[in-house]
Amino acid sequence: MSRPVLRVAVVGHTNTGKTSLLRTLTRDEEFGEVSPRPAVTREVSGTSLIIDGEPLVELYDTPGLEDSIGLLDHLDDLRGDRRADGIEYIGRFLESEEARSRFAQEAKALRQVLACDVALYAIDVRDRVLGKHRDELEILGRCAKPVVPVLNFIASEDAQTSLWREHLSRVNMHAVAEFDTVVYNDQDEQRLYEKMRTLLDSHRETIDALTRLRRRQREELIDASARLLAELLIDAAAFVMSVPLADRQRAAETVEAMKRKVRDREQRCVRELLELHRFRPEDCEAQGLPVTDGRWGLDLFSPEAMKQLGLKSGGAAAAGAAVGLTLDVMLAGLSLGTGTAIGAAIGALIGSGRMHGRRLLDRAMGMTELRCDDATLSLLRVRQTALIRALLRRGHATQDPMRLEAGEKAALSDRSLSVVLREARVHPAWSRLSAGPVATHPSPHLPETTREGAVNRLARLLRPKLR
Amino acid sequence: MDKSVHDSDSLADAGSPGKRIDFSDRLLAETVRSAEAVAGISPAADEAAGIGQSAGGDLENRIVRRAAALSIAGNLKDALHQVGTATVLVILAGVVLSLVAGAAAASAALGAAGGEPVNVFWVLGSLLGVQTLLLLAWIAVMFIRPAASTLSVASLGGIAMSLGRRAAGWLHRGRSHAAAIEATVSVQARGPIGRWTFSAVSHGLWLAFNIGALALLVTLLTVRQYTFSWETTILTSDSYVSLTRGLGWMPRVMGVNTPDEEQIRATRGPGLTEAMSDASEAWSGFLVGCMVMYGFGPRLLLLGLSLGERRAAGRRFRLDTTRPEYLRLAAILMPATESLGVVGEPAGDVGSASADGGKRATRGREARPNGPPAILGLELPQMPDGWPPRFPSTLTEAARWQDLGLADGRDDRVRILRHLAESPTEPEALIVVCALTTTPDRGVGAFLSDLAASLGRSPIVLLTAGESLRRRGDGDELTQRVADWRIAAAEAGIDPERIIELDLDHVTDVSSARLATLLGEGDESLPPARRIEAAFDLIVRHLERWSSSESTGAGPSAVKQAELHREVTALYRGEESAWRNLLHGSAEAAGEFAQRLKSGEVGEQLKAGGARVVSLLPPRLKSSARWLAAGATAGALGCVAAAALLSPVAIGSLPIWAGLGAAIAGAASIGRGDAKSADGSEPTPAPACGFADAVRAATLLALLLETQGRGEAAISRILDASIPEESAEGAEDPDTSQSARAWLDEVRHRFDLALAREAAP
Ligand SMILES: Nc1nc2c(ncn2[C@@H]2O[C@H](COP(=O)(O)OP(=O)(O)OP(=O)(O)O)[C@@H](O)[C@H]2O)c(=O)[nH]1
Ligand SMILES: [Mg+2]
Repeated sequence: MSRPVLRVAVVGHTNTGKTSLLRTLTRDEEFGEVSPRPAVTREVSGTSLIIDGEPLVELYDTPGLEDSIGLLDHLDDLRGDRRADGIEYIGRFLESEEARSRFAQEAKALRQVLACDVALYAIDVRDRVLGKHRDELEILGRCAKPVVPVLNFIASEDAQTSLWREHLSRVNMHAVAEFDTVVYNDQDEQRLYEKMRTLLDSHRETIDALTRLRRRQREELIDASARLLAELLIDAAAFVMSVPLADRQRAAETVEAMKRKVRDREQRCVRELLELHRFRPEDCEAQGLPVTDGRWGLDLFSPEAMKQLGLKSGGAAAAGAAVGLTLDVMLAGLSLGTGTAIGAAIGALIGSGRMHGRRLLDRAMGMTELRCDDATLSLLRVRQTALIRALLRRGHATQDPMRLEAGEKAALSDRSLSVVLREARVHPAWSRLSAGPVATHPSPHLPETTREGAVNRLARLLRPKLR
Repeated sequence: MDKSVHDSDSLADAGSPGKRIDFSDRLLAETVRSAEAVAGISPAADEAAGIGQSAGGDLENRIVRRAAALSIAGNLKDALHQVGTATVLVILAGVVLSLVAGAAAASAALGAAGGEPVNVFWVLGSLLGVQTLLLLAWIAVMFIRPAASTLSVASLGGIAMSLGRRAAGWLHRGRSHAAAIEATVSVQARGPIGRWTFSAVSHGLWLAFNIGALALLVTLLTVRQYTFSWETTILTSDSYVSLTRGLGWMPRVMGVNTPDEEQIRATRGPGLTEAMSDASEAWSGFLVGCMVMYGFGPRLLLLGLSLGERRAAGRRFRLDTTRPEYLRLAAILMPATESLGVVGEPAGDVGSASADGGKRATRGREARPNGPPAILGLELPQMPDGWPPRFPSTLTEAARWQDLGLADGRDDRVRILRHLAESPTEPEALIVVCALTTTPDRGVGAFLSDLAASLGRSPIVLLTAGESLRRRGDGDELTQRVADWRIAAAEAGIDPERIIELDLDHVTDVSSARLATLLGEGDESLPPARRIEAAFDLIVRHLERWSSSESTGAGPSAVKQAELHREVTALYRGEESAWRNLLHGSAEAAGEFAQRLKSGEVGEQLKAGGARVVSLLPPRLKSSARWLAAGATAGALGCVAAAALLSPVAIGSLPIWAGLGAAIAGAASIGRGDAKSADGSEPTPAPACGFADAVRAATLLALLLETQGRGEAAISRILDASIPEESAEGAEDPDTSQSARAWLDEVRHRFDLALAREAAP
């Protein structure tokens, strides 16, 4: 009972992003229809947010107030010269014939405002403050409900945010929220709730519950994204396949098989991330993400992908072999000859790894091990980090192809990360890509040296980089 | 003694709807998570998701119900069961071993009967010493740093459990078993349940050890004769007395006979007399009593405690629903929203307002004499050049315009309508300037129809600011917006032919001519002279000059190309502001550019100029590397040419040529991005370096300058129609003066046709 249901109506001129705002606030990408054309939404339709199991907040999308100038004229006509409250003749208007014909759309929206506790007034701040806006605010003012103006499109170049703020304060609206539903910012959303809270004393508990829920969900989302990324990296880092040193054919086939597996694993991570963030694959293109059908446009093992990163894959790259697999040669002096021969045959790079008991055994049997090189791991990490960041911002509105930010390159050589990854390299059992299911070689190690432990540690390290 | 992590019997009915979920159900859910992490979402998951969703309750409950309803649940349950059994078997084996070890330790400690007297404290030490130390360590870890205790299960328990898992892994190699083992490990690695399980196993094994030892001790003491003694080198007898009395206190309380002080003193060895052997009975009691009280007893108690705690931990165990796999499931299982559907009466019965807006547009007022043409701006955004727009003087003298001002709100509308109604003359034309950045709505429609109704002639709706809209979004949005405006205006009763798209920020003599025609003054003002022929002649002349001076193969230098572009631009000198806008975005930008040109820091502007032209290319040309390069070149060199016309400089001496290539490539690659989304193929931009490329770039510039002032969409259309399809062999590359002449003739011909098509309504 201390948490009454809060009813919110989203109103505004047509095409100012009311439906988009509702989609963002409800996290429901399927809600209503969004398009840059006018008068797309023709009906009032609602969604309730379930908070802690209860439907606590009801949000209503309304048709745009298209002809506020005409409506205000009409309202003034209705008033005539009698003195009446604004709300009184709004009521009279809603019963009139005009409310069903000429101003049907406006009537629907106003009726909903009257049925709600608060109205969010969506504004396209790229517009100048025009008469129609003034009249809309005037009409809303007569509805005797608290109104929170929401400045939409604030990330646009043409945004005139300060002009709008100035005008709104002139008409006594001081609790103004800013929001851009395309370039999403969680802080903006929190501030919007704060503004509502200041106006709605009786619904504080409800709004607090909603605020807490959103905050918690965001933290969870970041955590879960970090985990997915950590799992991908562990799977790739620990992935090992043995090939006979002498058999070039087999070696080449194995490289192909490995590449395919790593590639598929990356796609799976993309898919899982999209799903986690409730992003439909087709939204990616709209948001300028370089992901089509849940796949990265640029192949992981293509030289362009490396270039995009500004990575050079060692000296052997000169041979044009910017392939992300390293022949793992244990005793440089001893095996370099063979390794190079195979390297040339399969176009892989030569790297060096640490010695490990099993590898010595392999070596004795004329086998060598293939694994992803550091550049591939970096590429995986950077690409997915960029994706997660974009998803957390619900996609950027910029259509620029994704580029590495300045800080990223420094992060490539991050020490603490590489410690965990190097550890993963000597635990083939940690990789879900390795030959069998993980536990066919159950680890004799203690829990904290399990895959789970490594994933957790890595996720903790990655988390701050996602913000 | 079931020490496996799960209770196998309760697995049988996991997930039946009425039952409360318990640890085994949660373990099954974890196992499903592990299995799905490897194999992907299970088949028939939708149905199970439905069950999970309808189960209600919190997320965990839904996850558990879903897991139990999956078709793989049966297999996984069996696997869990088998893994559990294997673990139990290993632990049982451990128990047997411990019994044996205990017995062996006891018999070794007592030694052969009838030999040397048995050293009591030696026996006690060897049977209780190690385990007491380990017990203390366990206590320390469990109660002082519980967080670290998962780590310290390197105890017997930890080793036994790990061996159990290995055994299970060896016995069963299926995916379900792998998942079962992984889930078990991950559950144990997290929190108290693993800790207490390991403890229980440890204590159980030690208990078995104690049982073995005690059993043998009692048996041997029963059937054999031992003499007991104790020895010391540095301690006093008194301390042994108090030690023995102290240790013996607990057994004594339990009623066991332990040696008294005299007996203790008497059994100090070596050199024991026969007489003292009656103390042996008391010593045996002491030994057995100590083993029970300090070995067997504590382990039994702790085993009980551990089992109890483990059970409690099992009850408290909750799934970590913040794991990504579960969060993803949350989206399906636990809708965060509930649709309330459409509120109020459904659509359909309400008549569209704009329709009756059209009806209100009644004409047929009494005729009034014509006044000067009037202009008004309807809900315009900030205009860069202010209001009213500056039309070129060729169109009509400024004095003749009647400016009705901006219609921003109600008062303006009333004022304008009243003015139109009350004025003794009727404007011979009313131009309503609307911005394409504004969404046409019913309010606008109503005003337009009021305007139409107040005049005898349909007003002219002039749609401007297309460029601003295109900057905000993509070309499709612009096309759509133009169409929406046309619909809105037509519904308001505006004659469709009197709706024109004309960017006032880029007024040219071409666009003013169109306007003039609409105003009915077309015959008075001269049709703008065409300069495309002259431009094409220039191109051919330059090409001849280049090919005579350059060796074939290498194309003309950028400087030479820039000269050509400057001459082409000079042909259009009359529309200076227009081409400046076209190439630089705005007149100020052009001025600034001209300033900076001399310092050479203009790479970005050149790129922007190139990108602007590239963005005007129709999709067909955008998907061609050549035309991308030509567009970027035309834009970049056009910028230079325009600037050179503004503040005359010697083009060749400008310090800009080094950065030009990069700017052009950059601009072209922007276009490439667009083209890729258009048709999926990915052209690679090549720098315009050959003769043919230079011709293409200059041709584009000429076409653009000729068509400027038209809407962006129109320019794109005209370009699309004018540029011939590329022939496959490339034999007709316009790289010699003849082929270039022929090619340019074709372009001009197509251009004329395209213009004709545009002019047709
Ligand atoms: N860049 C940007 N675009 C936005 C934003 N909000 C909405 N849009 C876009 O603006 C257009 C209109 O959005 P809608 O949500 O359909 O607007 P609406 O107010 O519901 O429109 P009607 O229902 O037709 O009255 C869509 O193309 C959205 O993608 C924003 O904050 N930033
Ligand atoms: Mg809408």
